[in-house]
Amino acid sequence: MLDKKVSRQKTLRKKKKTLSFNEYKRSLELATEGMVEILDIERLIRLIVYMVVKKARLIHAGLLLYNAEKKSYILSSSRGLRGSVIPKEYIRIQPGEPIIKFFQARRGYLLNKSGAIRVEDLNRFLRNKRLFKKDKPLRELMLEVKDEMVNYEAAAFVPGYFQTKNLLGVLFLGEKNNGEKFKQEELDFFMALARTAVMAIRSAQLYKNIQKIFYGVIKAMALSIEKFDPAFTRPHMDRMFKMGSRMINKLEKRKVELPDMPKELFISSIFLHDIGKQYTPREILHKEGSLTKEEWDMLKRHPIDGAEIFEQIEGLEEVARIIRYHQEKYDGTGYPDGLKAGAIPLGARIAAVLDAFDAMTNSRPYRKKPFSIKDAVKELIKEKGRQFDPELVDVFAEVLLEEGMISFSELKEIYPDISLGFLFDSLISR
Amino acid sequence: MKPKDKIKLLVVDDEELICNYIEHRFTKRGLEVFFALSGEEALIIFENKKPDVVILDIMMKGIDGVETLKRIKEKYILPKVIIVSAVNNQEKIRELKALGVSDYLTKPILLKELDTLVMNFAKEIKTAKSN
Repeated sequence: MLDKKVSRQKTLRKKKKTLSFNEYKRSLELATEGMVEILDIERLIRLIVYMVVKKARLIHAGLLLYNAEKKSYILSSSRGLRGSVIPKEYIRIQPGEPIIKFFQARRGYLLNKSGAIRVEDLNRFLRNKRLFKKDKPLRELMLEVKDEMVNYEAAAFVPGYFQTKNLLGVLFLGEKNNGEKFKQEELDFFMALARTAVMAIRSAQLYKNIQKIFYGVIKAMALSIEKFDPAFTRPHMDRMFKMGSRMINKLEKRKVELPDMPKELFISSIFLHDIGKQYTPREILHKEGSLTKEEWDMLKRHPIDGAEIFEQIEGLEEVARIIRYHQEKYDGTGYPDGLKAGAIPLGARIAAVLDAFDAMTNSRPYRKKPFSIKDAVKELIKEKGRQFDPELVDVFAEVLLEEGMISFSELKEIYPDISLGFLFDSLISR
Repeated sequence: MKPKDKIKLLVVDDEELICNYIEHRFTKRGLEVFFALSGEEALIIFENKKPDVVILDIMMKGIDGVETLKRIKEKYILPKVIIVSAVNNQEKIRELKALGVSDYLTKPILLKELDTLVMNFAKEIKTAKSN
């Protein structure tokens, strides 16, 4: 009985081993279709290598990808049998090395119409000495490439070109588990896969660059606040960013619906809230005593002024809303519009908590001596449901607790009716 | 070649895949390879196997590469040591060279450089031993 089962498993495994090209081609094709939509390069190349090793059943494979900063091809992803697989990020190849030289000169097409190199094509070509009579250097290069195949235990190299002349990467394929050779149709297919992968990698790189510039601009704008607002400093921004992202992660876990925008942008809008203060007279921002009614009225315009900057930019309407409403209070007594509770955008409600806490725990022109963390939290708790969203105060306290900025006993002391559930959760998640 | 005549290589790296790969690569090239996933482990293997060549990582949990090196040096004559590390800091490199490190390769490495170093050391040691 048991024997039967074992032998059945064996035949199954055998069947699996001889999975035909047509069978795995379909699943690879399906995987490639979605590729262009993956904008995370690392995930993308991991997927490519994974699919190739898994579906074509190779001992190992790796992808060398050009890195402009290091001016070399770095093994960016690899997979396969322990020992045979070269660990990713462990090796690099320089542009002058044989494989790169060979592919840059598009010599792959000499060996195989697909443009890829298969070890047996290379050997066949090298045996035919007549072919090299006029081109000794080519023979030398091919011999070197052959050495490299041994060196990387590769059975095939597949180049990935961008706009036909730029070599963006090289996929190297180890032997198949069952020892079979790569068929012509497989090489053709791997070349097609490489083409799609190159396109996907290029668009992911472009996206990443644009994103980098975008966040650079946002950050520069935020840092410009430093020039006019004594309360806004780089450490303040970094603190807001850190605590803000911790809060947002917690809210996500609590299944709170976040606005439809990238997380980084969401957090950035939280610390951009005071950008409108550039239009507030300096004397007001730097004033040490209390403000007159007129001065207050001027200061109170900053959320609207700030929001106006971003209202001009299509797609950043939510950023403008967060800035406009960051001085609203949960009970509807804030400004500029007196919005209440859930009507206030989530980002603005978060900004209110974070900014109040940061203002209390750091010195300000009007109050030199900062509050202790404990006293500041006490103040937040007192204002739960009045100035602040009660749930957000809880989430913020949780973050402080996890960051070790306040101790469990201190928190319990100032917040006796704290829900045991959340304390328990935050202890578990530590 | 009899196993006892083989050149002994020890690779120390907290990434197991790297150890596996170096083991696979240099076993195929005729060396006897041992690996350690930490500095502590390396010291034990060092005591028992007395390797001829060591490939050492710097950043590791527990005692790091520099400390491992110092402890080896306290008790034994230092073998050939090749550092393979992602750290690319001139001061660190000087410090390590002063400790007696033969070569320093930065990750990602050129595989050929590592091959050449290891195989040349192996050849050197073999000649020295046979004399």
